[in-house]
Amino acid sequence: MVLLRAFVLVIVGAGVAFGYRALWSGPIVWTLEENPPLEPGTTPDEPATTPVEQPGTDQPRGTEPATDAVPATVDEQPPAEDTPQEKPVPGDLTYADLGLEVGVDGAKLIYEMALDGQASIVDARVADDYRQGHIPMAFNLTPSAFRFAIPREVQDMSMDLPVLIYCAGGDCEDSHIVGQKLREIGFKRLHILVDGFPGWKEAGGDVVTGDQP
Amino acid sequence: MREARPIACGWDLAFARLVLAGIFTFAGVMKLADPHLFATAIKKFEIIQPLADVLGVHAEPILEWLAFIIPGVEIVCGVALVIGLWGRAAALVLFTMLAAFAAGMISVIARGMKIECGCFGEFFGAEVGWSSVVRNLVFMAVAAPVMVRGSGMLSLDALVSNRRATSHTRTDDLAT
Repeated sequence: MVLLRAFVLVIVGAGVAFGYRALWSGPIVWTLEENPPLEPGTTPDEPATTPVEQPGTDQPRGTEPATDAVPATVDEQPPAEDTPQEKPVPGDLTYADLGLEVGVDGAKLIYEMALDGQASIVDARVADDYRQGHIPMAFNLTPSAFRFAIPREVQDMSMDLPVLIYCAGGDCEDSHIVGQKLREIGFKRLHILVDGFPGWKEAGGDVVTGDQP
Repeated sequence: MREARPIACGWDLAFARLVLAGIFTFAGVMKLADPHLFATAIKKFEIIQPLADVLGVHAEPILEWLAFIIPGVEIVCGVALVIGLWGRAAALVLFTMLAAFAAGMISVIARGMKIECGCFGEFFGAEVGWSSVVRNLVFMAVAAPVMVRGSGMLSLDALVSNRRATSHTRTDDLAT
């Protein structure tokens, strides 16, 4: 009798679930859509210099010792015969070239923009990993931070500026989930660092530790 | 004539039942507040995807339905426990779910994964670890007596059972 009643409770629970899903209109979106195309004249401000290769000349702002920066992995291309705008020349990466998913080069560009207050950075990893090391100026926002309300840190971010989001790289999808949440709030220019924090660190990017951006 | 015994009428059972009800109704409502988040939390356990691969189906529809069914069952069992109806059955369902969640967490820990639980939000710590396994074991310990002995005081089960006991007593009195 107990087992039968347990079965009935499960069926009723599933029925409640079906009913709620029918009423809940929002679909579960598993992939983050590409950013809308940049409108002419609305390219976010870029720094005066466009750093792509930094062979160990910059001092890291964090507590970790400086490491030899690995040169950016931009494929060598023959000089463009057409106008420069059509074929980007290595070392001449611009914001307009960046799509939803970016490599370390694109992340470094956005990082430089963030230094000028023209971009935001979000670390979607768990708090322990964030504390052990993160990109300077990155806010720690995990997917569950968006459960009940818009996090305070997001309210301080400008929706018009690009946002670089990263997590642990590889199969980690937290950066996409946080990106989805930001997209729902109204952020348009989102960029996911494909290789995550490990890729950034391996490329010699700046790292800080602690709870604060 | 055999007397119908009333259900075990312990205040301890009532307390355990209400604690369990509160926990799971709360957890179920929180999960339903953001099914997307819960679906991705389930996905990160990396248990459904391999199963789906073996079966040759897509994991996303399974994840989506689990993201609704699990909290639905939690809420229904929570409500059943609040009113003390079918307490043993409700506690059995929740005990089974807790055991399954604990097994999933141990699997995550064994694989060295660092993921958020998605169980109760950030109120009890987000990351899956031994503390979350212990928490589940504690909840199982709370559910066990209710599953075995029933709803206790202040419950519909006790009310129904006591009325049956009273009815049998009257029948016996009339017979003698």
